[in-house]
Amino acid sequence: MSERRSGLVLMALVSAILVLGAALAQAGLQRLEPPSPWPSVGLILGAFWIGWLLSALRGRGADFMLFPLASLLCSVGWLEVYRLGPAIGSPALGERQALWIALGVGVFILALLVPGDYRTLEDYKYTCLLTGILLQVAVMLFGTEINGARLWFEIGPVLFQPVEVVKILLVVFLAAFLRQFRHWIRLGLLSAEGRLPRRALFLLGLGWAAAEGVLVLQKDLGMALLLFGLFLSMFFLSTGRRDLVALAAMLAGVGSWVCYHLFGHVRVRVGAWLDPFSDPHGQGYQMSQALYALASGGLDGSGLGMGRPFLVPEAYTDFIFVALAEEWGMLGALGLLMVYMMLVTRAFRVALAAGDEFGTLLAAGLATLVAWQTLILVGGTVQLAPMTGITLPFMSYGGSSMLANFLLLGILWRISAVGEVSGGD
Amino acid sequence: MAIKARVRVVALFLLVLFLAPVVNLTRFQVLRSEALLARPDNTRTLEDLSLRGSLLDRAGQPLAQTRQGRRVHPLGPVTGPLLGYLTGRLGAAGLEASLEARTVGYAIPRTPMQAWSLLTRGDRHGDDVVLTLDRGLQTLAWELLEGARGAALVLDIPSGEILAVASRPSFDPARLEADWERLRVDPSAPLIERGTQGLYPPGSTFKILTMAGALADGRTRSDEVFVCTGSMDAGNFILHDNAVHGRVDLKEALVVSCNVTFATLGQRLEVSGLRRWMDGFGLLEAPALVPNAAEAQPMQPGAPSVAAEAGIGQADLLVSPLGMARVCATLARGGIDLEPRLVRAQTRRGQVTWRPAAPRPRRVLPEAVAGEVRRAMEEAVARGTGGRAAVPGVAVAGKTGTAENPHGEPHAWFVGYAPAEAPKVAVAVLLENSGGGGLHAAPLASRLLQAALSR
Repeated sequence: MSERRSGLVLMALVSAILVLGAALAQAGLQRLEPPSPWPSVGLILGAFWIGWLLSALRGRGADFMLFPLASLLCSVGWLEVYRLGPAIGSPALGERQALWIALGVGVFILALLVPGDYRTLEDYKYTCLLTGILLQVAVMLFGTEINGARLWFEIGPVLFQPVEVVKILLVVFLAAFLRQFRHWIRLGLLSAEGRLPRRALFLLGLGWAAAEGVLVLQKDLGMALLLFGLFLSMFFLSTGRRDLVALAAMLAGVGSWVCYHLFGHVRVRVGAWLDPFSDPHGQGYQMSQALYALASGGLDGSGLGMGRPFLVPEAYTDFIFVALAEEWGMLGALGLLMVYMMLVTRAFRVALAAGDEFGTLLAAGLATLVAWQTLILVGGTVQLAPMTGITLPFMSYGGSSMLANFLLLGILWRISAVGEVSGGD
Repeated sequence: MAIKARVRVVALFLLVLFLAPVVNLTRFQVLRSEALLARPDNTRTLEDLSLRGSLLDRAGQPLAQTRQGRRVHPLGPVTGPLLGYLTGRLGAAGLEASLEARTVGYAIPRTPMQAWSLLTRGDRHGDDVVLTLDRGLQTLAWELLEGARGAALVLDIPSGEILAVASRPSFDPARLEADWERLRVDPSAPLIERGTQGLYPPGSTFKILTMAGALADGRTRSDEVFVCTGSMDAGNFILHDNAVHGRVDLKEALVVSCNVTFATLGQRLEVSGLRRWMDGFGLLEAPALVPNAAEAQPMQPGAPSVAAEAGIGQADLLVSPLGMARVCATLARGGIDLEPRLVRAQTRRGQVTWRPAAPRPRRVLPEAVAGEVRRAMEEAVARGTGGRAAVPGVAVAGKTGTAENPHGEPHAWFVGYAPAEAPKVAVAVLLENSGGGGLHAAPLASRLLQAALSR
């Protein structure tokens, strides 16, 4: 009950932040004549409160903090997207993002209301795998090419990025597959005759090949990193073989080294990462602009609508964290990282409370997915890693990502709701 | 269940990884923030500077302007600490900082009202500011100070405008960032503008104020005769004069700079009277249109000797060269003060957008009293201590000073104006720790007055 009250307090806080922030952003953008934020704010708040009430009413012992935390991230992200829209010449960006948030909450509600048990997902593991592979292959063959990468389907007026859904399908598959076969894998490993752990090695090799395949065929460094990080984390969770995980990490290192020497575009990326100022007007442009944005933000930031985050290319998607760090300052950025840490922690708590192995693996996998994705993106924008074209969960502009993340949240909620009830199994 | 133990391991591992971005955020947003902002390819800084207005001399020639995203100062060290600097890394100082509100079209607003006016303003280009400086005179003043530490200041008497204010040591604004670490800790303080911000014991130059005050207050008469035995009892110690002047009248006492006479007048005026006259001459309040100027520090009442010492410009009172030039100019106007100024107008594409109100003449003391002091100052140059300030063909009036100070050799002072009969320009020259004012400061004043009059 007290947890439900904390969630309620957090929702009230989210509403206040959104309303005050929208007023500030609108005042700060006066000269650009931004569209009124209030219809969007109304839509978002309406969706949030409906989502919160439904999840609070239906769940018994479910996690009441997951949804408010995600709402907080969505709100802050929306404020920055709304503020960037007029500055980059697409004033409707905020309205569109509000619509995506509302639709995302709709997906979350659907996930709450679907009858049955999440454990039935386990029976569809190969369907999930096949769907994922088909979507990826299809997008490579028939997708629309943007910025030299073929990652999107064009459906009417919207762009659909299948990889956002594929990630979740992959987690479901891995959770189910590893739960079923983890002893089989371990047995293979434990054979005392000194035989090689062939099955495990084969599986690891498959995961490694998939990641490298994404990197080579799709030129998507971020997704390759994410898939591999996710795969290794889940492999470790189910088998507990540190030695093999270390081996695979080393293999990944070797693979990266090979890629660096084989592919020009990887070299360019790494060069722009390590020394953006060697070519500040070319390859290093985005990174150096991002660093200038961080520097000009300083400790307390320029204020919402008062900075110039729009000078960083892709500030509303890949670099939204930098835009935020400029206008909300380092304090705001640290606060945001803490919210992500809380969200990830809550997700891992769901994994710990789950009553069955599949639930534990699935929840932990989804938590790992959110954590790795946040770390890879934030790391890429603050010069810890090469920058990558993935989205920041719940914050970046984009429909596919928003819908997929709310689906993820819905699944976590379902696991938590059952976990408490069937804790005694 | 072993899986759950491993969930904890993975969760902990990932949460610890979240510390890595915190490290880099601290690096870029706090530790290296200034260095990043100062990079030449950082368009954010360029954009800010390119919108800055220029600082111009009285003829409209640039003294500070933005060229290719950098703030440049064409006169370099000649205007070094006066104009200050404007860089992304070090921020702003000097006039560049004080006049920011006028030269900036786009600034980070500090109050809601500023934010509002920023948002509602169309053109973000800042205005130019026209200063009262004369480029030629400024350069000469700076060159005259070569090899010295000190300041030279020229004041236009009819308008109260500062024509030149040079200060040494200085710095080259073009090399500021490279030299910063050295400049910052240099004990000779090259970042301080000495003409308006430097405060010094005025020494004997202060006697013109003591004389004017004592006459106006009726504490002496022009025909009073003082007997100088070379020393006097100042209350708690014996005050020594530099010579035995014998019987001198008031005018003669100023011409020969007799300490006994003016210490006596100081005692008659008392600390309160001297303080009142410092206030009367406008020394205790910094002029509004000379940004960053320092007001004089009056003597603190205490030991019985303070009034006597203050009468000859010692004790603990401190005045800037600008302050002493202002006293001279007031006497030269026959007792009328005009507040000195350094800012003439604010312009936008040559059109004046703002002009300060005309200075309000203020009578400080009766014309007859000013006349007594002026005649004495004239003779001090003609046949007294200030002989080296003479200009061929022009009568100069002035007063030397050799100010004792705790930092070593006395400071050399000369303050004066010319022509004596119809004053046009006043000067103040101060050389730190370089000995006698008549010997060292007066010759510089002569050169400055000559140049200012032939301008």
